Amino acid sequence: MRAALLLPILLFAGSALADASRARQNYLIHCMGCHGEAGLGLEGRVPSFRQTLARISTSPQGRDYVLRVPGVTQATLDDAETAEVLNWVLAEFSSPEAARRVAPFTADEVARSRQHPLLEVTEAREAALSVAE
Amino acid sequence: MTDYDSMIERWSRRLAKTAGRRSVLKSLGTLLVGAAAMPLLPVSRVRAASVKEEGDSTTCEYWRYCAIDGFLCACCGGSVTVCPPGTEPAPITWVGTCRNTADGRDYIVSYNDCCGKASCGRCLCNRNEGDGPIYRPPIANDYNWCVGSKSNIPYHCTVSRIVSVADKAG
Repeated sequence: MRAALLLPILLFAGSALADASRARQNYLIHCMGCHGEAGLGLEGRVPSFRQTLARISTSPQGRDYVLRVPGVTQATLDDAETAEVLNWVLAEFSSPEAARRVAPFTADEVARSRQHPLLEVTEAREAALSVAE
Repeated sequence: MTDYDSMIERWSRRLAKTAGRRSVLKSLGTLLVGAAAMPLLPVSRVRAASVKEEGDSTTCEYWRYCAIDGFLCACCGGSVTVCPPGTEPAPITWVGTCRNTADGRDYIVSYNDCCGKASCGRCLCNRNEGDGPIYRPPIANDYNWCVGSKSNIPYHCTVSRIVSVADKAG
């Protein structure tokens, strides 16, 4: 009978671990080249995920900015995989308090925004930061 | 919905009769500790020292070079992972996935340009597996990534660093 209780829990835990593993792998292949293995970016050239991503992602304008940057619009990941990687990045590189304030990105949200790539990325980032909490 | 509720109720009552609280807590505890330890296991956070390899790292056929485009640092006074003296690795890299012929597994490989001296000129290797057109930067390896380094433009050679095992889920 213990097996009856444990099976659904094990399946859930196994699925969550597989999702995290897949998200990390996709981050390494599609994002790490510019943002680095530790998500630190390159000062003045590539934004750090640790500094501002969670803060920016609390506002609708900020979330729209995140989903329209070149790394998202040009990534060869589908919408669900992109949302999964973004949520992994938020959890991995933000403080627990900051990550809790951000609603998870969804595939539908990714699909809506990534169709409109940003032309002026720096200006859009500054605007997103100005309305961030 | 009623049938579903009844089924869950029957299942819960049967479980309550047969499974003690302590045994359930013990099982949950084991599961949680096991789940917490799993990310620490050397499955995905592989380090180069633990990877079985074969072949000559000064030849273009070496397995790690499957997606490379540049001079091999192993021929230029450095090694497969270390930049030659007088150069430093660019922080922005090109990433590929290569199959290790020694163990049959796929690995994520980071290609770091080494910058700060004029081109090495030895052992040019241009295999480009998975390379895309230059107008799609995230999947193109024709860029000189030294533009992002402190040493800036001068490109010397490229090293190939194993980052992780690439399983089939990715």
